[in-house]
Amino acid sequence: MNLLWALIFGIGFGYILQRVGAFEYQNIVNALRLKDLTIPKFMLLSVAITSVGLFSLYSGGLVVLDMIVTNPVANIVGGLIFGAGFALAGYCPGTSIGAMAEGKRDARYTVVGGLFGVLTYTLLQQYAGLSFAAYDAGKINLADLIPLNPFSLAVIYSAAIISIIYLVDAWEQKKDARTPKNITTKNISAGTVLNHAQE
Amino acid sequence: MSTKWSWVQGGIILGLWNLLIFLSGNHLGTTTAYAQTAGYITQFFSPQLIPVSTWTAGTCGTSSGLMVSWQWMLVLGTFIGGLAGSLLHREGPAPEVPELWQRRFGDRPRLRFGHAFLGGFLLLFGARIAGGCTSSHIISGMSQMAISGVLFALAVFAAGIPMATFLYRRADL
Repeated sequence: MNLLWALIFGIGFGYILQRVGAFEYQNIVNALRLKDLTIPKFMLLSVAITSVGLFSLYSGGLVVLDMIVTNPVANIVGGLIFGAGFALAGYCPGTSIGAMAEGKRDARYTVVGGLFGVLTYTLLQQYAGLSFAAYDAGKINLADLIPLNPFSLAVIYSAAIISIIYLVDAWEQKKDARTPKNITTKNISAGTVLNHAQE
Repeated sequence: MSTKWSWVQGGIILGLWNLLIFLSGNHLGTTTAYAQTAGYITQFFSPQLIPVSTWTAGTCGTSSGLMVSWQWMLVLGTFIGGLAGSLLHREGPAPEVPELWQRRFGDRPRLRFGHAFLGGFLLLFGARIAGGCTSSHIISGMSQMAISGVLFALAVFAAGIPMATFLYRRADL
């Protein structure tokens, strides 16, 4: 039963990502080139919404948190390697699966490359003793660092994220107004189309 | 006229969807599914090469054994959802090589596949070190205000932005 729910959640997840254009190479690469921040804005907005909802449920004891261990060295080193791969592939581990479903041939190579990446890491872990465990700081979040109740903190956190989105969006619109772009060479998502329609 | 969703629509829907996932007692993540799959393959060829405990002791995901786990089914669902999205909206076959890439590097599919492979390698290698990927660290982790998620997201952009800019240097695309 639990696995059936996983499948349903996955289908919704894949469908949402497909609808916003997260499976498009150009939308990811243009985000990293700071040419079109549609996808980062989409992701940050989802984080802001989930966060407020999650911590209100958390205050009522309806959910438990399930975080990844904070390990500053591992999180940053891994993130840097991941970021370089993100720019090269134009997909992330999840979106390459969805892009592969759409029939994008290059995404298959990303998935196979990923399997080799995970194999290489695991071999290094097994035979070369690769480990970052010394830097583990435990499962911590902002509420562990800032003495405020988690829900209030989540509201401030979400407000800060939405302010960032607003500033990024304003910056993009200003930039677009300065250098009018041909829509077809840009992103195909409705976000861009909307922005152009508003101008 | 695009049939795609705006980032505002998408962000709200994913935010609420993610909330439902948390309510079900689980969290998003895809990296573990890669580890489980690679683990199955190596177990098939040589159980001694890498013991199951090394696969499951990775910094990412749950401490479950090698099995068709929650996250594996989630990834299968992501595949089906992506397929459904592109079929329902009749988007037609995708080009062999992304158009933007082609305009920058020319009609060289094998070079693109090489980039895609190397990118995938680095993605999962990095994700295994960091303990997760975009979905678990950013969409799920940052929603929990996890420090690990915030650090990971900053590092991804700190490397991704110069890398993408370098790849597209001198390109007015």
